[in-house]
Amino acid sequence: MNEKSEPGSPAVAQAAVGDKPKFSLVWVVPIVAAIIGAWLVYKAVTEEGPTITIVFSSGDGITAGKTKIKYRSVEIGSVEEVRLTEDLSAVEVTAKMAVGAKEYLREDTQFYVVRARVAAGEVQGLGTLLSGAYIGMSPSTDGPREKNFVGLDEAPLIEPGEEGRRFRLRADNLGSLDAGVPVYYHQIPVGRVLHYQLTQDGSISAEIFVEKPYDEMIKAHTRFWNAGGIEAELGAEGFHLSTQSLTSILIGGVAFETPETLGPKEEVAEGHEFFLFENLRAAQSPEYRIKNYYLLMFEESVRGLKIGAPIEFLGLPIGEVVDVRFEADFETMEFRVPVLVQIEPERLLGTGLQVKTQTRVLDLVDHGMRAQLGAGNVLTGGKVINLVFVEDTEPAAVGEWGGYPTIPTIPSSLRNLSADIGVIVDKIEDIPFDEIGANLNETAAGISQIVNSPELTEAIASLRKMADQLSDEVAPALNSVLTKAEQTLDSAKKQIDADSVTTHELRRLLMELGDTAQAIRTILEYLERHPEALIMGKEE
Amino acid sequence: MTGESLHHLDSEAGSLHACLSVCHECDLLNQVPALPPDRAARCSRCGHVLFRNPANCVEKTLALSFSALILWIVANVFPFLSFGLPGNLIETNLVSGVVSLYEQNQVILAIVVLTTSIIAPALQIAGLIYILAPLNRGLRLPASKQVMRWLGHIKPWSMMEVFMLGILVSMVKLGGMADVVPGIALWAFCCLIVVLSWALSTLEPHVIWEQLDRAEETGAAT
Amino acid sequence: MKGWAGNAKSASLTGCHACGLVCQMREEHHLACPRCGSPLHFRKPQSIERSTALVIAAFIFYLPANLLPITHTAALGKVQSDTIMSGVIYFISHGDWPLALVIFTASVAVPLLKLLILTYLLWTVKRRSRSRQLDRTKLYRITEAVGRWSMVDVFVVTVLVALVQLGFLANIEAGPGALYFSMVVIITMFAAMAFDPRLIWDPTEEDDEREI
Repeated sequence: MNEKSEPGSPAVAQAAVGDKPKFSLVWVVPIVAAIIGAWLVYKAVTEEGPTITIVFSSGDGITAGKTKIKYRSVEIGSVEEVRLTEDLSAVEVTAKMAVGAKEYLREDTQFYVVRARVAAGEVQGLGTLLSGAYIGMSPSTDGPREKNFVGLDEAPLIEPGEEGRRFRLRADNLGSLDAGVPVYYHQIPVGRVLHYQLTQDGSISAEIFVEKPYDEMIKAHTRFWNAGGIEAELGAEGFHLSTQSLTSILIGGVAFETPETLGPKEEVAEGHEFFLFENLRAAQSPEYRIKNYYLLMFEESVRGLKIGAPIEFLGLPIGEVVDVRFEADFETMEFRVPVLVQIEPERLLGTGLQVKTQTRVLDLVDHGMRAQLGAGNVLTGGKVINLVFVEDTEPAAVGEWGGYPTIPTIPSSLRNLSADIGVIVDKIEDIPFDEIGANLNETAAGISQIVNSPELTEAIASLRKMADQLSDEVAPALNSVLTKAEQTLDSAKKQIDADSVTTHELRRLLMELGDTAQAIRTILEYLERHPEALIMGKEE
Repeated sequence: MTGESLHHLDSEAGSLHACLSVCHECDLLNQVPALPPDRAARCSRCGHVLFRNPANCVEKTLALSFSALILWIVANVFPFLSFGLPGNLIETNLVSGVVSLYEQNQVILAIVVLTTSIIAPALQIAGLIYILAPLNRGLRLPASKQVMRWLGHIKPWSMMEVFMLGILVSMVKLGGMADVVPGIALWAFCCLIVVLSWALSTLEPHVIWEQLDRAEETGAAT
Repeated sequence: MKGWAGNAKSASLTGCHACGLVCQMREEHHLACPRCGSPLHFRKPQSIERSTALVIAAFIFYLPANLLPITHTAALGKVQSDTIMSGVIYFISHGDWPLALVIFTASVAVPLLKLLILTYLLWTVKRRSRSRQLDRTKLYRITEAVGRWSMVDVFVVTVLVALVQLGFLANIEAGPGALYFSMVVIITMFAAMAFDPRLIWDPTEEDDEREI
């Protein structure tokens, strides 16, 4: 209640003054505040984790009071101070860790800075573009506890505790190798390249890590190859495309396969060195060490025969063309194409054999083995060289030319085909159609003379005999020629693919031949049925 | 040369006795009758409160001042507000804003905010305890009167409650973008505002001055 | 002393503004309160002059305070500057009417009103007006009490600047307007403190005296 005061107004009666309470309730407030404060302090102290120092080579991205330390994206610590070391060579970071982190602060624990990074192997830490860098931790639970660490500048490629084995790869070229590049097995990433270096002899030596349990797939005969990018090949066998994964297209990769083998399957120790093949195909080809060179002399067009074209035996590739040259003798106007081929007899006869191949070849040649050009890739018109056995051929022997042993050659079956066709055409040409026609004319003239005479019957009889002659002698001959032509057609079909230019022309020729033969046959059949047509002409 | 103080002659221990008072706002001379405890006297002309006689003024205010002290410490030490996205929360202290302003070269602004939100309340609390704690026992520390004067000067510059409103507005503004997580210090700050206002309301300068005078006399007498 | 319903000044008395002690001042030069040692004055020295100067200064600072941006918000590289008014509009456009009202009142209306009221008070005192003295005193009381709340926007900026430091993603910087605005508030507070409300009641006393 308020009292207004007027000057001179009577004094208000004094109110009774009660006893002052001994203990004012208001003291509850500070007591409560003190209790809460003390409890907060206690909580903060007991929940305080250890303080550690980490030495990094650069403080880039690390901010005092802001940068966090994370493990599996969970915050487990925070940077408090960032300072240069005394000799100005490094940056010392003081960080306070969460209580639970105490267990993991051991000697082997590693710290590294995660900054946004696009590097071989992965795009890392893009989130840091938004939030700033953070410090990652690779904890270990064994070993003595530690409070001072030396930080790595990049995330370690192997987490401590990650199980697996390391191996070495030796390659001629770096290819897509780089630290962090994945290692694939059946297109699954199972490891990564750790680092590489150039060796004294110019080759590249790389160390890879393969996780358990995939490392057990690796044996002594495992093949490693460079699987990066897209492998596309256009060869005598066709177009070939292969790739391991999208990552490998972009960044590269190494793949391995342990092929089935009849040989021994040895285990390998950690650190075993393998050769890194350039690509899958190279890896799949077993290593052959014995290479024999032979010379093949061709006297026909070798169009489509490239260096590297395969040379096959019974359809199995046993080598390849190494060189193609030209030889001319202008006096005799003879031209020849010497082709140098490399034959790896191990492909046929197994590895590790003795040097008896030369004699073997001699034997084979004696038995009629010849080299012949064959059609290879239809798309490119490429040719291959086939070693075939020919019956009834002139005996030939292994000769020598330019220092190389020669294998005798035979013309390609394509050439044979045109020869056959030439024969057919010749044969057809030999049929004395003109004579037959002249005879028929004479006979017709004679008939008009003797039309009303009994000699007509005779003439008809003799005509009949002639018709018989035609059907008995000429027609079968024609038939057999036609049959042979058909056979040749079939065999030609087998050798020639539908689309090449030569084939088109050939086909056209053959079709025309066929038509001609068909027409002849029709005439003959008709004549058989209506021999009088020779005289009277065909009824329309 | 000093003037005589009419008030001084009339004072006695206990409740305020009848005396003259000059209104600060209208300069009217008022004669104030003896005020029983928990009563207030107002100027007859303009209604300005001349003085009150709150019961247990010293003890109450002192208790509240201690509470305020603890709360002030908590408010400054512990995390105040955290802001950001999950996994990327930035923790701030009460003083973080000042530090950020300073880092942005807004030095004057930083000083203004520092004073009005942290320093002024701290000085108020310190001053109150400095005067009231001994006074509760009838003693006084040297320069208590100076301190008392300065308390009066500081009072308009302690703007914690305005700061609180600023925080609320910011929380609304930022809440839509990301998480704003209040920390312990924020709650302590709220309580501090309440407690300090409460303390200042239980404080009646008149009573304190009286008691200071008495303590001075007692001190001089011994 | 019946019938002496007058200003203390006419009785050569004054209340110490620090401790409230009623003191008699025979001369008005450099007297100190016997209790607390503060300088004693009948009226605050040069109250009208000081207050007027400060009010003018505050008016001058009021323009840049509202025209210059108080925050620069940079988000993903794009920088947006906000003034006090654009902050209010932001709240309105987001449907936060109450908040918009609070900010508008505290940051735009109150400082302006305060300055206008002080101007009015100064003017009426200068003119020795005798009308509505009680109302004017109440106006002064309100002005003094409410003034500090204008600092809200400055604190909002402080908190924003402290919290939104997310690097490239988002960060807020205080703009020049903030400093000017805080100056407006502070200067206005000083202006109000410099103004002596007792001056409102002086004309009554002196006129009465003259009449007497």
